[in-house]
Amino acid sequence: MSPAEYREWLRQRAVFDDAAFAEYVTVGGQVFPRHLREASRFADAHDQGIVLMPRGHAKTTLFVTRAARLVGITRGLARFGILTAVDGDAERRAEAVRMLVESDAFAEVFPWARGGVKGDPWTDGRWSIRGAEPTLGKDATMTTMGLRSVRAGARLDYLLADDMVGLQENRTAGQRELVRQTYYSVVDPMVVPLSIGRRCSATPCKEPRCLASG
Amino acid sequence: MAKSGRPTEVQLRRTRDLIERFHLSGFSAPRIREELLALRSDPIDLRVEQVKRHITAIRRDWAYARPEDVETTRRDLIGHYQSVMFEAARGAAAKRGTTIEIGQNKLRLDAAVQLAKLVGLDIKRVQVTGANGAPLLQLPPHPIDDFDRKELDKRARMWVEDIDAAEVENEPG
Repeated sequence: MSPAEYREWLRQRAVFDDAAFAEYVTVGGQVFPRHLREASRFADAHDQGIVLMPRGHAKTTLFVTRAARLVGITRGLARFGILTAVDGDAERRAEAVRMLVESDAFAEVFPWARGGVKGDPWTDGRWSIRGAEPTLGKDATMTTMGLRSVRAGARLDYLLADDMVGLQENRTAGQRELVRQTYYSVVDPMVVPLSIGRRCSATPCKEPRCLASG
Repeated sequence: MAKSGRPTEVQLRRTRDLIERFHLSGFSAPRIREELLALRSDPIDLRVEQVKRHITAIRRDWAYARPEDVETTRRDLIGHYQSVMFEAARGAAAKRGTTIEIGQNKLRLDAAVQLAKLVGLDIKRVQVTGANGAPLLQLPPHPIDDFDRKELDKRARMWVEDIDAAEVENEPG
């Protein structure tokens, strides 16, 4: 197999495979280790799931990459939500997804993106793919939320809850209860039932009770 | 009567299933509303707008969940419009010189427009691949282009293991 053949094979596989997508689209051609490939297959097989891994195992990388790939498949028509403990973290993840979606390599995998993807809105915390706005209405392709400031209203097809509890947020039983209540009463109902909705949580297993069925 | 407030997932699934069934029977949204109200057990009270929103969601789910159904529908519609065109041509020929001929020809043109949309003749075509799926344009440089044989073999082996592992996971039992 020549490099050109391998590249073309990878480009075609990147449409439906997170590891191939990461290898083709990310800067430096990130090669997923085995545990991330297994996590990707796990996410493929389940509508809802929790991925618990120790810190530093690239959970966020996997789901950021996966979110970008799903944006490509759905042409920005699916609504994604990223939930973290504070707004800034969610925005950084959304920005990472946006950088992948804006890249030239992304447009090689998804030819529809060759004409540009920049829609309205197009900010770090909230952005839509060009052409998807009329279908999305008041929603956006990507919405970011911080658990402490989240408000009901957004409708989501995919929810990625990542690091929504940290050491500070998780210190007392009262804090854990607040997190649990906010998640189940405000965030979880945002995912539209019976849509293509999926909930994926990638977080270190500091407090499994908060995420028992997240 | 369904309780007010946010429906449970089970209720929503039942509502969606019923609306999908009525929708596939060709009922309009107001008619579907009446049918839901007329259910013998646990009737469902929805506004027409709500029914329409459900129908929109159902159609979107079809597109995501059953792309093969969408393709089948597209083929059916192509066949349908072709038959309308033939019938309209025949009707126009039979009623030549009358206003019916004009109506039939108009119908034929309308069907042709719909047919063109279904087969994609109305969109600007962009060729994305060359012969045998090869790239049409020279792709920009990519780190993979500089891989040596050893690196390529290493990555190919990893993919073989990965694909084998996925197949093992998917095996029944």
